Amino acid sequence: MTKQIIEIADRFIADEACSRQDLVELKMWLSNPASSVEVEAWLWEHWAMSPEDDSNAMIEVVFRQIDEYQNISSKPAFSLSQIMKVYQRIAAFLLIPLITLGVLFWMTQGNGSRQMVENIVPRGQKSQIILPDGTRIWINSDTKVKYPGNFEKKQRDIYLEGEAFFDVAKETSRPFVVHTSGINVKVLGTKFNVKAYPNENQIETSLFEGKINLTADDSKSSDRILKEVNPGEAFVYSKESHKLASKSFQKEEIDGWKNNRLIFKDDTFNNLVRKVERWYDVKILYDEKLFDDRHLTVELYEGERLERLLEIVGMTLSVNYQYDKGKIILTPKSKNM
Amino acid sequence: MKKLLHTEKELIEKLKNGDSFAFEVLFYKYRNKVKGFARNMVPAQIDLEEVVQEVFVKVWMKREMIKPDKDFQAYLFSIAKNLILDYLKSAVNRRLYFVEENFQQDMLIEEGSEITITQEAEDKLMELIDQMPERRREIFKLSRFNGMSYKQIAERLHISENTVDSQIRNALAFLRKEFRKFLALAFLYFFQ
Repeated sequence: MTKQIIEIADRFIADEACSRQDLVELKMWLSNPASSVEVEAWLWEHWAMSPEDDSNAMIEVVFRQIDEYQNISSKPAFSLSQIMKVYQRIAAFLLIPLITLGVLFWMTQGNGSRQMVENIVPRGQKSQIILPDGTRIWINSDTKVKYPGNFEKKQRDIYLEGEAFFDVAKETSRPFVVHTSGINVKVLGTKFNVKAYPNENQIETSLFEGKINLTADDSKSSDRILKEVNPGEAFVYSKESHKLASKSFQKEEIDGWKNNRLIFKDDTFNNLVRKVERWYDVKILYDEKLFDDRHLTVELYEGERLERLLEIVGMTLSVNYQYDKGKIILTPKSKNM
Repeated sequence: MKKLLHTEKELIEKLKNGDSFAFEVLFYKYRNKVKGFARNMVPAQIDLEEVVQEVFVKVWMKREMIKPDKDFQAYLFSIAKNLILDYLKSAVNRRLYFVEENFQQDMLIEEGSEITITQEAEDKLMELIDQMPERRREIFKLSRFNGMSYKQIAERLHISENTVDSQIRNALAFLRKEFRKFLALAFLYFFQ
C-alpha cells in the first residue's frame, strides 16, 4: 500500500498522468494524520535528493514580510537600525538618486552669502546627481559633495571628500573646478574620476576624455598648474609629500563602481578592506601586519553578497572569517590546517 | 572546511538569539537548496522565489524552535515541508476539480461534447480565477478546490451562507463569460 501511494505521489509531482482514483488516494494520504510519518519520510527523501537551484529570492523582501507580520502582531523584534540597514541596502541599488541627503545651508563667501547644496552619500550606498549646468556626477559610498545652488559667472566650483566620477557639461568660458583637500582639478568639459577620501593619504585622478589640469590647492597660487593630464592617464597626489606621480589607469575599476560592481585589481589587502567596508557598510577587524603582502584581483557583480566575497577572499588568500556583533574578524589560516 | 562548519554552528546560535545578520548569511547559503526542493515538489505555475521567501520568513518567525546542537538543515526542512505540503494539497485539490467533471459543469460544457480539457484550458481558468476580487477568489477556491460546503465556508470566513452563495454565482458568471471567449478563440485557432 505505502509503496503504491508513494509511486502515485512521485507521479503527481513529476506532472505525470494520475487517475481520479489516484488523486483521491493521494489527497487522503497527504491530509490523514495516520500517514503523516510516511508523508514526512517521503518529503525528506525528496529534500535530500533535490539538487540546488539558483535562487534570486531577496532578503529585503523577506525582511519586509517579516516586518508586516510583526506589525500585525504589534511585537517589534527588529530595531529601527536593523530596518534602516535593510532599506539602505535596497536603496543602494534601486533608489540611487533619491536617498542622497541633500542639505542646504548658507556659506558666506567674499562677495556675500550664497546657498550651498551638500550631498552626503553614506557607506553602503551610491548616488547620482545632475548639477544645474547639466554636469552629471556619480558619487561613491562614504562621500560628501558640496556645490553652490547657482554657479558663479566665472567658475563652477565643487568640493569633494571621497570618490566621484564627473561627466562635465562643456562651457569654454566657465571652467569647472573640483576642490579636494590637496589638489584641485580644473576642466572645461570632460569625463574623469577623482578619489579623495579624507582618511586616505592619496588623491587619485583618472581622465577618461578631454583634458584636465591639476592645480595646487593653496590660497596663494590656486591657479598654479601642477600637471596637464591626457585621456587614459591617471595621477596620484600624496598629501604627505605633496608630490604627484603617474599611476596605472584603472578603467574597469572606475566603470565598475559606477555600475554597482565592486572590482579589485591587484589591490593591496588594506585597500581591499577599506573598499569593502565602504561598500557594504561593515566594520572589518584584522591585524595589518599579517596581511600586508597579499594582493587580490576580484570582480563582483551588482548586488553580490558580502558572504560570497568573504568566501572568495577566504579561499584565495587563506583567510578565516568570523562574524561578531556586526563586525567581521579576519585571521590568517594556519599552515598546518 | 572545518572552520566553516564551526562558523555555521555559531550562526545558528546567533539566529536563535535574533541576530538578523546571521539570518541573512544563512538565507544566502540555503536559498538554492530550498528552491531546488520547491522545484521538485510544487506545480510549475507556482513562483518558486516566493516559496523560498515564504520559507525564510517562517525560519525567522519560528527561530525559537531551533536546536543549535542539531543540523540547521533539519530545522530548515521542518519549516519547508509544511509549506510544501500545503502547496501539494491544494495542487491535488485543483487536479481533482478538473478531472471530476465539476469543471465541465461549472463552465456549462455539455457531457460528451468534443471539448477535451487541455492543460491550456486549465491554465486559462486559473488565470481567470486570479483576476477575481480577493474575497470572491478565496470563496471559489474553498468551494471548488477544497470541496467545502457553503455552510463550512460561511463558518470559516464569518459570513452568511447567502453571501457565499451570491459570491459563487458571481464568480461562475464571470468565469463562464470569459471562458467562452477563450474557447471560441481556441476553436478559431484550431480550424484555421
